[in-house]
Amino acid sequence: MKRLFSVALGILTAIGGFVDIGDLVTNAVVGSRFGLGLAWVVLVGVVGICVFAQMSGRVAAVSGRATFEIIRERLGPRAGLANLGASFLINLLTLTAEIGGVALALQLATSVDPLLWMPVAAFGVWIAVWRARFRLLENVTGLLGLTLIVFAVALFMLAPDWNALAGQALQRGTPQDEPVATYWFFAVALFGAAMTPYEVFFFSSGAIEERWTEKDLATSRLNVLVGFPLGGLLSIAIAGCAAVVLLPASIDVTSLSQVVLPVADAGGKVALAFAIVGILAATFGAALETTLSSGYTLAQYFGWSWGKFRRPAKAARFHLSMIICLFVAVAILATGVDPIVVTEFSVVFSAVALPLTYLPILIIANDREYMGDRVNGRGMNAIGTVYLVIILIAAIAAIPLLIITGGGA
Amino acid sequence: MSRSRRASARERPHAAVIVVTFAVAASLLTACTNPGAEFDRAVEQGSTAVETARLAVALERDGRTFASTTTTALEDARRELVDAASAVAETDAESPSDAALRADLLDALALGVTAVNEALDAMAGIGTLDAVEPALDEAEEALDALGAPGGTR
Amino acid sequence: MILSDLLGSDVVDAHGRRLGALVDVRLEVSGRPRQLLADTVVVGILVSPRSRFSTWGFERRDEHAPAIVARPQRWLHRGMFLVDWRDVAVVDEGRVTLRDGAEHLDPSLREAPRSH
Repeated sequence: MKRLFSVALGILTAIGGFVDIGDLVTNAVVGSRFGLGLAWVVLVGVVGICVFAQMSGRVAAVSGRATFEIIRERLGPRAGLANLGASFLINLLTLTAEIGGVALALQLATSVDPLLWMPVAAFGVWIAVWRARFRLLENVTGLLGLTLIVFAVALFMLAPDWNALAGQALQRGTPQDEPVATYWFFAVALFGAAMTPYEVFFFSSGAIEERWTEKDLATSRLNVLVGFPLGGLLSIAIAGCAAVVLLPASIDVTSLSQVVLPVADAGGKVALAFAIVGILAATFGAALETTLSSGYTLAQYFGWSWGKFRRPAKAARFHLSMIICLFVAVAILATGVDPIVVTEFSVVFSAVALPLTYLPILIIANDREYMGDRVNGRGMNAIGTVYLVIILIAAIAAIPLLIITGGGA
Repeated sequence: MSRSRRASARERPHAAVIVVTFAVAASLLTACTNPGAEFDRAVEQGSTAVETARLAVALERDGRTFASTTTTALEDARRELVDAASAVAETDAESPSDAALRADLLDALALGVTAVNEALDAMAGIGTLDAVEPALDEAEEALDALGAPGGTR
Repeated sequence: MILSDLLGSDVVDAHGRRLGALVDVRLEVSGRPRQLLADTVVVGILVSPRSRFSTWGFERRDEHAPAIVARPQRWLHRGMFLVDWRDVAVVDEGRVTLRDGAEHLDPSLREAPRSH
């Protein structure tokens, strides 16, 4: 019974933890402009993140060591540094977007200017990282993030024309009024939003934090294979709500307030309250994960002692680097840049950095020195290779598409 | 030869930084280059903002949303309208019809801003939301007229 | 001297003929014993006739997966060999000269004892 409870908890946490500000904004933007026409990208992205989260978790559980330590050792310092540099910068950008997201969600609840909330949000993240236990952090934010299910409920309450929605999802080609380049730009952005790199570092470092052994792998596999796809469905529901309410009204999503209006339309104040709590939890949780990921990436590469399982005094540089990252994030937001714009850049550049973050994991998951007999099987390598090709195409196309479409304008 | 190789090894990271910076800058600069595209974008931006305000006001009157959310949505809409108006105001006309269109567009966007401000005032206790919808309609009609095929060409 | 000074250097034999580029350095923890480990000692250099690109560790064991990465790597570094450090005669900036009769060894590592 206890086991069932912990499995359920894991799955629910994975669902709630899947969605972050990148998913919220990108899916809403896409829904308001393309309907469900890009839902297939979410599916492709979900399978991809499942494959790589599983691989990185297995590497950590079997080898007993965390990602960046192994990457530097196996691939050499230069490849390791390229991997570190790309991962760290993308992490920082994503962290900035998440802190911005927390501030925007608080504005929705209180009407207080987001610029005032940003330092508060950063402070909240720091306190949680400093004091709260790892498991507690994951569970609380993951479970609260589940309230985002209100988007799925709202979609049903809006009583949409399901045939029309299915038609949008299955149509070949782009809608009339949007250029082809914009369609593919948002496909890349949505892909980057679904396959967030920090998820992988967090997963593998989390495996060490929680002292996983091979026995825990089965549970984690279940969490990932059930939780992430359900999280993907939630993303599609967010796009669906935008498609049903905003698309017909010709409202292109450019702010978080537009993302929640369909939910209010469907279920009134109660539904709206759930949505705001869910957004707050999801972005705060993601802010925690990206902050920890920044610490993990630096500490593991440079060989500092790291981990929340250590007392802060014993992992001083780990904690200090996270504090500095939070400062930088707030400083970027303090320039007045629109957090939604930061989010859009973060998902696109996530797509660009994907090959640098995933290729090493694919290589190490095949290395018998670290994995013993638990190397990738043929099937896993086949999927991994297919995804490597998809990721490379997305990464190469991302910046040209960004330039051609002017950021999807 | 080795000296140049060491120099080039140090230059390689710099080259990467330059390329990425250029890419980001280029993506921001290619916002648009001609008045027609600029006006089109402004019409879309303005329409979206006015429609968002309309939806927010309707939900508020139905009691389906919190005041804080409505206020936020209206402030976001107003910001979009002001941004669109700034972009239009700073666009150079390439012909007399461009100049006339720019003037009309600024008027239409101004109508939008006024309507959204009325809504925000009502939320703050000044006036009521009743008069807002007709004002939003007026702004939307003005923008539609300019956005219709032939309107921005 | 730091590692970056060596990496990418041309490797020539005793007669000045270019053999390839120095792509990696083999180390062993077998020097003077210290508290926890021992001093790290350079025991060899890895020479690749055709490329200066990093090997990503594919030369250490007989790894063939993932094929999409392993195959190009093996092709790129075909003919790669290890040279014992004692066979290195002169180390210059950008140029390493080997002794006459330097042996070209197999770069793979011996099987390490398994801990799991």
